[in-house]
Amino acid sequence: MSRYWAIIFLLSAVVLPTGATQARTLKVILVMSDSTPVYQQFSISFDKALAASMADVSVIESQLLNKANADLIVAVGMKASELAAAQTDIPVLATMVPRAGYEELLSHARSNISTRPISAIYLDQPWGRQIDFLRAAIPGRRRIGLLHSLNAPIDFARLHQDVAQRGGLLVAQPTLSASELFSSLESVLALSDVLLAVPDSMIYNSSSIRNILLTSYHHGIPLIGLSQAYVNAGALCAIFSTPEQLAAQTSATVISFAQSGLLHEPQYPVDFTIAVNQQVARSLEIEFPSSALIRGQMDQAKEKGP
Amino acid sequence: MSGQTLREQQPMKNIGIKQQAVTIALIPILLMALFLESYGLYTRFDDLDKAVMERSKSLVRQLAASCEYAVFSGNADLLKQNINATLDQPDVNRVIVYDAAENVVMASSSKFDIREQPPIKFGLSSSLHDTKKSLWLYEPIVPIEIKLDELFHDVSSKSNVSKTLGGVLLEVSKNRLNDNKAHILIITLLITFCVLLLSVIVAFRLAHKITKPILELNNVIFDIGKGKLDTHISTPGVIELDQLANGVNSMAQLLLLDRNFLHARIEEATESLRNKTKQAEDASQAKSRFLAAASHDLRQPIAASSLFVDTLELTDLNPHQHKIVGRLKESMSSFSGLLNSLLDISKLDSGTRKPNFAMLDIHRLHVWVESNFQPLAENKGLRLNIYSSCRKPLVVKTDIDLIHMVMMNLVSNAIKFTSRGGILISARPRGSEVLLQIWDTGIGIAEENIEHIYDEFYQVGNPQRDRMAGLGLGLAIVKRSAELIGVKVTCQSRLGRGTVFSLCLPAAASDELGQLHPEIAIGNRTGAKSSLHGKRFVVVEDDIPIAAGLVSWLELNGGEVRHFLSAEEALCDLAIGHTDFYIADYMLSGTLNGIQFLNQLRQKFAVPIRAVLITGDTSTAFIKNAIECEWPVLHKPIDTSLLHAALEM
Repeated sequence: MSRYWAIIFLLSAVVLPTGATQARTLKVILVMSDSTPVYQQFSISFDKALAASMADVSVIESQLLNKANADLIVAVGMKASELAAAQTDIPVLATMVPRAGYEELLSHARSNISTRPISAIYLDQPWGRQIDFLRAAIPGRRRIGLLHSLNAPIDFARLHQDVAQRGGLLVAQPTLSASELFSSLESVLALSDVLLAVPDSMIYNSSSIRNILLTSYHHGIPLIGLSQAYVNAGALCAIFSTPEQLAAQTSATVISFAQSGLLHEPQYPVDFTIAVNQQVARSLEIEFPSSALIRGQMDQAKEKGP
Repeated sequence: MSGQTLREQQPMKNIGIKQQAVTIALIPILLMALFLESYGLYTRFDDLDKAVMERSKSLVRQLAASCEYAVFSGNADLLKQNINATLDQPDVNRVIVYDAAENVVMASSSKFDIREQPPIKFGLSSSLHDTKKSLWLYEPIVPIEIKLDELFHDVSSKSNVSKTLGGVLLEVSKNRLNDNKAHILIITLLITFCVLLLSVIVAFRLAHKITKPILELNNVIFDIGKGKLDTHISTPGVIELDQLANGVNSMAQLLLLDRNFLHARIEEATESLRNKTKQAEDASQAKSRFLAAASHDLRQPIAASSLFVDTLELTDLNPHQHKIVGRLKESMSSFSGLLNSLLDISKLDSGTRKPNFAMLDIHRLHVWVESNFQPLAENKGLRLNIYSSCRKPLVVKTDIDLIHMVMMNLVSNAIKFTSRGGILISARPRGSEVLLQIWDTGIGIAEENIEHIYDEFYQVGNPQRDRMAGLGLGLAIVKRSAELIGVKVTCQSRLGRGTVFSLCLPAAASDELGQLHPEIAIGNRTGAKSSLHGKRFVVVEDDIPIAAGLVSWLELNGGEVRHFLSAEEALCDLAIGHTDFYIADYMLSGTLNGIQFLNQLRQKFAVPIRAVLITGDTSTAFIKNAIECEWPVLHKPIDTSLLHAALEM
């Protein structure tokens, strides 16, 4: 329930100062990276959310951005965001993008950024939330293993600190190449209680996930995934935001922009979902608490702060 | 077409029909069998190949999948387990596992040499190398993908993710496959052979069934060809063949009718010919009988005349009378010669004269010729020379009487037709024969006449038929006599220059030389009279003049003679046994003939009888009897010199 209040609060904060522009209909172009079900689902949910808000926003779904005449482009996914940033001067709200990807995009398109507002709603969860989630879900497993490629855009110093502040231990292991994946995995698993997946496709991809899961299973170490797909593949659990949740947050941001003409700073998803693979839990003999309990503990931890 | 030809062609036709029928039956079966077998084998082999291929592919895929984690994790034990599990499968020879860098991670056989490795293309796709003995399959070890949402991965899409972990190479032996193929092939061939054999048997039986009526027809036609026209063909029950059979039956009936008609005609013609032949034979016999009877009747007075002339010569005559008697004797001799010629021809024509072969020294023949013809030649002022090229005795195997007859006629002809110069009798060996030649310097024979000289009564240069020049029977007798002893007489002549007659006599073999015939010294008349002196003679002759002539001649030669008119009269005489010589006429007036008389004498006294049979009969019946009897036979008119010789034998 607190989520809705937060959204209403944010919306009112955005809408009230831009009351002067209320009479004008906001033209929004929705650009999607592709037509995969996830994005389709986002599109439907986004339309629904806007319709429910009764805001004066017209949304056109288009891929033609060159001669587009709009007030805002909502780019869904990295591909659409890169396209929107490169091809237009229209303000862009990138959504469903990993933070690392968005930051790389900004660094590449620095010249365009100054002339127009650009912001994002990240796909990935903030590290703090993830650590809180781990603490709440599997409190006994404090050593968090992290396998990453060498140039992974992760602030390890801060992460070490965050983990340590929450009473855990981060075991980060870089991997030079795919051929060394197993040995790296072995070494990180040997020192960890739980393996936390990161958005690094060199390590975690459709081809490698089975062997990673098998190896971790052989070690009795659960893998914490990045999405429902990871949970389905055999990860113990995952904390993530669904397209619907992200669409709701995006529509709120658009209404805010319609009212204020301003885009706020990039933000992590406000709402999230917890998924659990009970079969894996049973196999690894982990007693997994209910989602409500976990959320409760996470809220408590958040209030308490690190 | 003749029966012979039919017989020759029959087996060929037989084989032809059957072969064709069998071929017609077999070819479709054979083609079908070959086609089906080929198709069956092809599909079966293809199935086997596909099955092995699919199984091998399945095995290698399974192995690649099972090796994924072992290769990913570098777990040698797990890899070995997987490899061993694959090796347990039949036909799997070798398994080699490679890593992503194409290095051999593990091989099922430690002896694996990298050089044995087939040219496999490593990579993301499967590949296959098929050799004669084995099948090499490569399967990349590709991690099993688990679909993840790629929302997070856009940013790292450029990272080089290795798609394969390595690969497995599997060698599957084709030995079992090849054995199976060979087995199938053998079974298939056996079945094919059995089917073909069965087909052949069935085809042959069918062909036999089909061709049997045709062959039967053929046999019947062959029988008809041989002349069995009463043959009837039963209809085989096939429309076309029934028609053929009926046609053949009709043809056979017509042929039979024609043949019977022809037979009847031939019988008629034969009967006519037979009658004509009989008539001719009857005529010939009548002629012979007439000739014999005429000869006999003529001989009687001539015989008597000769005997009287001979007797007259022995009486005291003055020189003028001697000359007249001499002329008379010549005329009688010529007349007697003519009659003898007729008799000889009659004898030779009768066919009863059989050659009696004996050894004869040519020298003796020469002596005989010389003694008989030297005086005659000298009388004509001619030289008669005898020449023999060989110092050794030349002995021939021949009938002595017949060769004497031949020589007598040829030499007498030579003397007769030569007026100056001489006659040469030569003899010389020629191979296994002795060439006997009679040369003369006489009138010669024109070339166109040579072929006629052996004809009866043909005389060269005697159109007036001077009886003193003979009857023209000499060479006819020569030809007949020579034919009897198997000798060919040839004549070469130049008109006005002379003539040569040649005859080749077979030389006697060396082991036959001991059988030389004793010489009958007819020509030796010296002391003849003394040999008959004091001997007792019995003459049985119903012809009084001849009997008187004989009695006179014998008595003048010093013999003691008694005369009887018939055999019965002679047999009744008590002193008939006291006789040295019997001279009996063959044809007597009583019931017994001369031979029967002599036979009875022999039976009566049981001793050998010395006798001479005289006759004027030249009939065939008499000649046959005369040959069978053991006593010498003299023909009337009797040559006293011959009689003398016969009595001395």
